[in-house]
Amino acid sequence: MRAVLWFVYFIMIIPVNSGWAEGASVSPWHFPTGQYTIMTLFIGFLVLQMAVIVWLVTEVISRKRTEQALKDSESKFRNLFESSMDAIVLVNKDKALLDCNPSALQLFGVDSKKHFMSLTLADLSPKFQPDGSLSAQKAADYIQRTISYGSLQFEWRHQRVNGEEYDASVLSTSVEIAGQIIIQASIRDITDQKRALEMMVQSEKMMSIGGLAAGMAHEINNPLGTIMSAAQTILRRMSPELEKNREIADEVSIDIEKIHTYLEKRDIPFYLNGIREAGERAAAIVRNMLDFSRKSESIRAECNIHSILDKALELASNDYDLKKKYDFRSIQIIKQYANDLPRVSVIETEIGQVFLNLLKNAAQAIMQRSTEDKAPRIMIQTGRDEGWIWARIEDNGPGMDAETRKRIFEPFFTTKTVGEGTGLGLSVSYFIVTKNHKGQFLVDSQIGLGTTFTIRLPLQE
Amino acid sequence: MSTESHPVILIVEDEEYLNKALLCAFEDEDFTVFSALDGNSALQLLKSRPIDVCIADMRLPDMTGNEFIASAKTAHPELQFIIFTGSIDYSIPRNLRDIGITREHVFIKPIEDLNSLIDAAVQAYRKMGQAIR
Repeated sequence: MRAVLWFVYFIMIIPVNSGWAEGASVSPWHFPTGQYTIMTLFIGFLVLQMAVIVWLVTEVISRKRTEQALKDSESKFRNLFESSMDAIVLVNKDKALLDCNPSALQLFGVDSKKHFMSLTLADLSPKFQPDGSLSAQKAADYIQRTISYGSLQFEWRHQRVNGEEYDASVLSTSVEIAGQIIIQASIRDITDQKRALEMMVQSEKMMSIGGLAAGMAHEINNPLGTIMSAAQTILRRMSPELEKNREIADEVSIDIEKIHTYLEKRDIPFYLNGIREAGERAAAIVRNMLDFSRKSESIRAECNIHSILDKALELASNDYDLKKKYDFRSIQIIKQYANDLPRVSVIETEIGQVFLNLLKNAAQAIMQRSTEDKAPRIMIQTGRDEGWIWARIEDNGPGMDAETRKRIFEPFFTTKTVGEGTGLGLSVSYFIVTKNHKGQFLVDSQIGLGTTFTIRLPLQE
Repeated sequence: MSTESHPVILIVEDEEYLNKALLCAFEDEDFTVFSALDGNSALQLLKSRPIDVCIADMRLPDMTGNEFIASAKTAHPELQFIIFTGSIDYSIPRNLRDIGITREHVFIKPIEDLNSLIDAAVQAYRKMGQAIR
């Protein structure tokens, strides 16, 4: 375009400098009929030249403006990219990392962009996704689908550089830049969101189980009452010691002592006692199960959570069972108590029971590990945030998978061997914290990384 | 008629075997004892018999134990009650607390020893006797 303009300009100035102008010297100011004078042409050219120069100048100015606008726009989008709360990562279709924003560095726990660029896409995910598929394979599939559909939204299990895994929601779009297809992925950590949802589901589930257990217990207690009373009545009515039995035996001319001897020889009282004992055991289970639905009659008091924790620790280390099977004292206990923690209104015995339970579980979990190099350790932390105080008990035991983690609060769910645990401890604890104290009971666990239980108690009810 | 150590007992329990088992336990200890399987027949019995202590289940087919005790107490102010319930989280309602029923009058099924129920019935009767004297 510019070349064409210059060409026109030159054509126009040729007559001015060439011999054509010579004829004009005769009478430049006369206009012979039917003929243009050189002068007329000259002026015409001059006007045209001016016009072209003006046009060229405006062209240059507008070009500059466009460039500036482009620059502005570029910096605007760069700013959007840099300041986005979502992590944004650019990848090409061969899964090479091209660029990322500061949120991405933070999300993946990388200290610099240089470090980030030295990673591969595989470093950002665990080997497997939660559904069991290979991350690499699934990623390739998602990239392909992003390219064919233009954009794709999906959930992904990511991994920070320290190995910590988290769930993310990803929006990937494909753009073509300079003939190359680029995938832009916006990644959002949805761990908290997922946890809130999981907690809601958990609490719903536990409340319905609690109601079910209470109703069931009542229904079981009635027939159990009949069984046990019947067994007792039979035992009573066979006993020679009961005056009434002697009377009736006399009435029908039978020697009650002989009946008694016969029954003893055939172990009848033994079996009847079996019925009674089994009934008592069943009754005890029902009672335990109902511990959580029973309205607490204990009194609330303003307590120091640290002294409750310390008492639980002492009980745990002195507990005979615990000592016999696991040496609690071989476990390193790390206390990280927050300073100036306010007192909290709780039923001390109940919260103490919860802590003791968690400490026992932690100890048992740690001892479950076979031969590993990590020294057994339980960490106890406390703290406060906006209207709550919390206590956290963390073990470095074997941890558990997501399926187990989702079920651990259910009554009768146990991973311990038969006879070792009733499967009621955590579920009773759950109800103590959530129902009796309006608190929250959280669990975090990953295979190989140990388990963390967090209890949050409201400062004011 | 009742002696000081042997009150006349009424058992109100809809579970037939359990009713009979309780009946036997009292009978064998030489108590005079009556039994009913529901609230209305129990109230009928109370009209015609000199009953001192009533052992009542809290879930009857025709009324709640609470309703039964309220009606029975209105008609027979001197009658004493033992509550026998399968619900482990039973708490004594206000109107029953007002007529003097306390934790020691509440037995939760299953009971391990029938003798404890017999003792409680005798105790309740003695207390009433002392109050009258």
